[in-house]
Amino acid sequence: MTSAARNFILLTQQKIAPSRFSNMASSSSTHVSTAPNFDIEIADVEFSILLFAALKDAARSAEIIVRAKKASLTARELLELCAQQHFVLARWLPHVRVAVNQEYVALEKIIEADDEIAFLPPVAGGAGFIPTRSSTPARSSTLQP
Amino acid sequence: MITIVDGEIDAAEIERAAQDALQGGAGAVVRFTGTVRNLSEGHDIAYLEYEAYRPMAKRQMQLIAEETENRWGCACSMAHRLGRLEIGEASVVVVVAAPPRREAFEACAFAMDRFKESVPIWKKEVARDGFWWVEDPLAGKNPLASKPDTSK
Repeated sequence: MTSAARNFILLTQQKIAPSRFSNMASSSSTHVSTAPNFDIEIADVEFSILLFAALKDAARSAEIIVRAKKASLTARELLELCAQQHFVLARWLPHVRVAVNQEYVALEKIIEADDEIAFLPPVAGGAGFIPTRSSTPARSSTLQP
Repeated sequence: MITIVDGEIDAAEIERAAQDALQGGAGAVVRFTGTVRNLSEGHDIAYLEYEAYRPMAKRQMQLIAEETENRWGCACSMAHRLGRLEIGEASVVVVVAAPPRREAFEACAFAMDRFKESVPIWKKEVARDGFWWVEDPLAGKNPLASKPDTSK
């Protein structure tokens, strides 16, 4: 965990913990460190994702950050988190192919936060005369059965 | 020879590379050149813009060339151009050199089909009535890209 992430957690705990327990009069003086253990929803791992073409235009950026609670996710989980955190991209995500370290991957592929990750909209290189063939690698539309 | 360029493609150089790879064994050389058209689904195209995920595009092109070479016993070279292209300019060149001509034709068509499927390169058509990314599933819904529906 980076020190920035650790500081973020500490700050969050200090802000959230007293208010959650403010109606517990007897524990009003309780220090944060002795507070009951409860889950704080903190997403402290950053996955940076390269965007191209229509996705880049929609996000107005060639790279976005998706935050997660763990350092490895499946491609499918990453797409789902992205849809939640970047609403403007959500409509495209069922159509993208995920590339990790410059190779197409399946939706069940485990991705680490330090991988080179890209979300690729349908490609259109070359000239415009050859119809798309059925052997095109699967897109993430399988997210929505 | 696999290359992605920002200026004009040197088609003669791409062709020479394929031919040289067979060390005199080529009896046929097929060169496919993809060029920018002035019309797309009824729209007057002003120019095109190509964008790539450059390192991955080059890797995919290498994989396709190797697959083509293994399957047909030929030599395959490719070049793609990025950036703004005017009508008539070449965006892609695929060259296959093979001992007999039938294999050269087939291998070149195969390589170009594969190229269209998997190389991460995108094409923006800029027309008099708007611009859009080709193959964008949401073109028309994207406020930045309003391609009128000409199918009706």
